[in-house]
Amino acid sequence: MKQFIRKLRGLFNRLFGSKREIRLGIYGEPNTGKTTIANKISMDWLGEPVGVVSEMPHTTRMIQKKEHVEVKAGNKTLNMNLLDMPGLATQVDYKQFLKYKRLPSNPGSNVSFSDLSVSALKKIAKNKEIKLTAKAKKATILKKVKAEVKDSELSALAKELKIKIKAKKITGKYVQSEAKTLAEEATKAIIEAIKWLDNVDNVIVMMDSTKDPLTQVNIMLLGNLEAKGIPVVICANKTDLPKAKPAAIKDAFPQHPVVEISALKGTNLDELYSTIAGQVA
Amino acid sequence: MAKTKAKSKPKAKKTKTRKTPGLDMDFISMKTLSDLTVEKRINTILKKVKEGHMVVLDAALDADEEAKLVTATMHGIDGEFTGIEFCTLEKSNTMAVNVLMRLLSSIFRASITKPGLTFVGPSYLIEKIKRDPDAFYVSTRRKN
Ligand SMILES: Nc1nc2c(ncn2[C@@H]2O[C@H](COP(=O)(O)OP(=O)(O)O)[C@@H](O)[C@H]2O)c(=O)[nH]1
Ligand SMILES: [Mg+2]
Repeated sequence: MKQFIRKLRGLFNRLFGSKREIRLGIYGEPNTGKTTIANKISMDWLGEPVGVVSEMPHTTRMIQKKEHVEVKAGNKTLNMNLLDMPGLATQVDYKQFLKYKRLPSNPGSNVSFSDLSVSALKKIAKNKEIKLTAKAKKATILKKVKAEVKDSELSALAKELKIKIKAKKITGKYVQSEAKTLAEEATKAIIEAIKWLDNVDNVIVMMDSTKDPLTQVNIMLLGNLEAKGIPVVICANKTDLPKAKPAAIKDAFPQHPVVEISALKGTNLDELYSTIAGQVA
Repeated sequence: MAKTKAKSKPKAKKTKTRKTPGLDMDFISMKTLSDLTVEKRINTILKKVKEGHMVVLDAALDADEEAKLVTATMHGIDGEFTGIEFCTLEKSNTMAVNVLMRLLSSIFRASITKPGLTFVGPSYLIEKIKRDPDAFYVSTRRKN
């Protein structure tokens, strides 16, 4: 049924030359460069970044959207909503976060519960009419607020209530409680990313060319996209590294176009754009 | 999240106080699971994995079932259960499906030939899975 609607939409667009925007989902395992490519595309064509890039897996714990990105691909124009997805994984161990330094969070954007002070939490509780006892500890307040406020509304709410989010100190590693919060957010983000497979029109699957591409996550991801009839472009990323073996990706997934890129250096993006454009009806 | 936690609590305890130091491998015929809904089938598998068992099914999960398995896994992750490693081999008529599982940390070594299969194990017990188009190799970690 979904596939049928998709086809109908494609036909409609061809007939009336509609400038409907495609929703381009950027999927892949953690640390493959999804946010780097999303930022690169958005910076080049909109002049603003999408999200935070870091060597820490699961840095993107919420779907990051950039709307109305207009990209020239040869003589075509691609109108898209960019969706930078959290990295897909089959496991999330909170202990992995303990070895990373806290990220200097972009103040205000993408607020997470771990950013909030006790007074900020109390402010939210008041706004949401959550009853608190005078002696309530931070953990209790956090629990009650979390039950009422979704992760996704937090940033907007913080802005509305004029809660100042301090850029976190770069020094110091994550402590256990923070790591547990990060892990919980990462698991929710993965569930969300999987759900969104039903809402994207086209997908870039990012792979790190220095790693073995035949992973169950890649196979599961491509299997789902194939079953849903969603056009896929695989990006063999990080080709700037000497260890990169993009040929291994081509061998592993001959059924899809593979574009060799370096998201970091911005290499070969024209080929990426024209390949996507070729897949848009 | 809270619901899943409450349900899995006794299981989690069991993992901690397991009596046998070796590996538990459950080989389950898909036939026994085929009457169940996808959700129940996945829960049956996950329940065993949370107890620290490696589960092998004689059929490959399809893409949708794989996505549901990962989603259910994410719902179940807490401080104790860190997730799964899994691998599916699809039915193939052209290739001889040859599976060799190397379990490094134990004496266990088995080879199974089936038209399709699925392997699921707790991530804390699995060092890595290396796969070829028609085989996969599982290296386990020693239990502390
Ligand atoms: N050498 C190299 N590093 C890259 C490239 N793309 C991303 N990275 C690095 O890989 C890490 C993860 O990048 P990120 O975009 O956050 O990955 P994500 O988790 O998929 O969003 C960061 O340290 C990036 O700087 C690339 O093309 N070449
Ligand atoms: Mg990211």
